[in-house]
Amino acid sequence: MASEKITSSSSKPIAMLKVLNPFHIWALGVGIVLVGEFMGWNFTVGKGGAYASLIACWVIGLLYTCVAMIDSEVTSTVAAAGGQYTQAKHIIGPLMAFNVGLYLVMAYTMLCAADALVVGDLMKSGAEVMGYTNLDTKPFVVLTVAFLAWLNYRGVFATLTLNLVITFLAFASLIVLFLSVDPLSQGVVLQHQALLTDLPYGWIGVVASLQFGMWYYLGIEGTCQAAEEVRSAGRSIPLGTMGGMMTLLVAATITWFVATGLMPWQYLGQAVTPMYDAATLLGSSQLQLMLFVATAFAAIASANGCINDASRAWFSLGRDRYMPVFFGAIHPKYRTPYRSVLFLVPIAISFAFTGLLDQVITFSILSGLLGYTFMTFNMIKFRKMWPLGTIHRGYIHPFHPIPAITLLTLCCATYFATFLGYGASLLSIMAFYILASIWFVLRRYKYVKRADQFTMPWPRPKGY
Amino acid sequence: MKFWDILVYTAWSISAVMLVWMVVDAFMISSQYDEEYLMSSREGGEDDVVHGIHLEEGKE
Repeated sequence: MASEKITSSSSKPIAMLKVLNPFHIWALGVGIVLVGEFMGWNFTVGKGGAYASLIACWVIGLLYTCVAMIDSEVTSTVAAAGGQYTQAKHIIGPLMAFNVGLYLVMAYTMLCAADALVVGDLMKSGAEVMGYTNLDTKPFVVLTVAFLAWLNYRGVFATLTLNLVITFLAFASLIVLFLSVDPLSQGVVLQHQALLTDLPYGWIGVVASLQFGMWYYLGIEGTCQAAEEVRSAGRSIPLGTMGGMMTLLVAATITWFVATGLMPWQYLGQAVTPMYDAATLLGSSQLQLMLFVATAFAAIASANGCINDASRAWFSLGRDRYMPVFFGAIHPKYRTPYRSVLFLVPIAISFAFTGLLDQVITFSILSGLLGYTFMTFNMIKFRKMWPLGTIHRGYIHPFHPIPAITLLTLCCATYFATFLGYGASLLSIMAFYILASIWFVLRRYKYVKRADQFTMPWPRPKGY
Repeated sequence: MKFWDILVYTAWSISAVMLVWMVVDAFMISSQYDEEYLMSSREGGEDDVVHGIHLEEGKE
């Protein structure tokens, strides 16, 4: 071992490795989301019936298409870890940036906890099928988080290559399930004519279903967290994000189509693992096994992507001193934000040990929704400060400002839907972020070195 | 001891090994490298992407 510590004066500044390509970006985005196709989306059916679920699938699909377009344009310009946090810092201001950073960390850490809980529950279900009851799920929850954190600690390439493989397999299982129900022959396997009913709770049920409609796509915006580790971010981020969005629209639609053609809405609306149930109804043990494994893969891929994204967001907050600068360190060998990865492990496990899956997920969804609301104002201001032609964009989204206005409108509708079902949670989460903002303004912002946080070689914004 | 009991102990053990490995490695890195170096990264640093190009000025 060297007698003296290696210092910055003897080496170049440390940086994360640029080793990712558009497929990794696709795997990061779709990997986080795809578990929502295997479970959770079906609560839209419980809120408003099968048709309400389809409307939510496409309306929320429109919301996320706006998110993906806006994110792709801004990220192709702000190619730095932290994603929307970094965008907010450069375009809106420090308080917004702090809040967005916190939304990201909370959303992904909670989602990771929920995914680990799902893996534990799947292990318990598997044990019960094999005749062993009362399996303790905790060791498998901890193992999921520990293994994925270890992988994230040791390098982003292996982490997201694993995500690419298991996400592709999980998506392929949905396609196999779709083909196995003979989709072109109504009445043979699928029974849509008998099972599809009118809206059981009217249009208010459709509005209420919007909240759970987010399960179809929640997390696709996480692609931009990899901006600092991807080769040619201006090309790869838009390609991976938009490709991921198209994959999810297809996956969501075929998921709805298969499940609603096999199960009545009253059952489907409260099922825990609807796609596994669909395979069970088809009477094929191979399909059952495939869907069981695919559900586990989807949950693991989601947790893996969440650890990746939450750690990058926390790292960026640390690097800019919005949080203790200790967390802004990069591992000299693996080139990962290793302290941030490690710090979030006990937090994710603590959330998972509460066992409150629905509350954890609601907090995650609302944090995500707050982030999407920010994007609308961010986009409008971005185009005003740096109009087209003043700064190079890897992707320019069409019809501005229609996507931003559409996004804001749909976010408002989803807030209302959340208020209908989880009003107390909505208000308590709002209160949490308001208190955090007060803490930041009064106690934390004085540590931020204001000039140091703007290192992008951008031209001066218009009007400044 | 049943298979599932062994699996539970194995899961706890592997989790503990991986968590301890990460903590030990993090301490070793802190002891070998200067903090200033570990925290010397800059956003957008060494970037080969397009965001640094100023169209207005026609230069990087």
